[in-house]
Amino acid sequence: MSDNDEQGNELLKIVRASDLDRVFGQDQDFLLQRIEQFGQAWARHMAGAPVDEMPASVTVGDLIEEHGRNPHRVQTLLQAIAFVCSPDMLAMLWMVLLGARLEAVRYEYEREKKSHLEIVVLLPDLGHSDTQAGCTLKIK
Amino acid sequence: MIGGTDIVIPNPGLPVAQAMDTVVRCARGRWAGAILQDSGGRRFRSYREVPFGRVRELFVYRDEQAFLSWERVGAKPENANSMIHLIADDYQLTVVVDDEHDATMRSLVSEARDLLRQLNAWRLRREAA
Repeated sequence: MSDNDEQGNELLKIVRASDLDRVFGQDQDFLLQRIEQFGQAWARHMAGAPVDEMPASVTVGDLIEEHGRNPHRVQTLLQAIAFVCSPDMLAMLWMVLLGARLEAVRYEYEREKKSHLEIVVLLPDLGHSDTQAGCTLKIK
Repeated sequence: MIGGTDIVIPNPGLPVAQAMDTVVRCARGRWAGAILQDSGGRRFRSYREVPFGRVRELFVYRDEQAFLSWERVGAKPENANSMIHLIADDYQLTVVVDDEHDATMRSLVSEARDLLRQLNAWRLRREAA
């Protein structure tokens, strides 16, 4: 069995433990694809962020490891994936779950013209409030 | 603690990890630079590093200064209300504070109680569905 298969099986166990198997079924591919897209969005937002606190990347293996330490965080992320949140939204959610602070949310909508969501989160830096760094996510 | 008060918050259905995390988030909302330490004396580098799924007791200090002061002199009056102690059991969470009438402690405990009540109710509804 390959590492990817093992990770996929482990992930399905977590999905079952989170009572989300009704949503995802046995469709590993969909879930893995969504996590990969989330990982890409995460890396994009973290690129250049001046903090040591947040990981630069997130992989399936990272999520499995985090589940061993903080199952509730991973379950929350999986619930959001089940609700088909966008990769950017998942990145924002994961930042908050790891300790970032939601600072502002702005939404603009014009029928047939514009739907624009902007979220500002403050990333913690080693737990010191005076060295927080901002990160703005623009979600269209 | 300096004559600490135990405040017991019922937690009938939420996993311990989620309940502990919820209360720590309430504390961090007031103490942005909070320092976290487990009952074995291990100080966590950050909130993200706390393995809530594996701890049953946590000390939450207001900030670095409070942590160092507790390390140095312990339960002295100058350290009053600068730390809370969380102890989780299967069906309840105990928050130990110095003065339950202190404004910060009162609001922290009140928010924690409200959130745990809501989250427990939501979970019970979901399980019943």
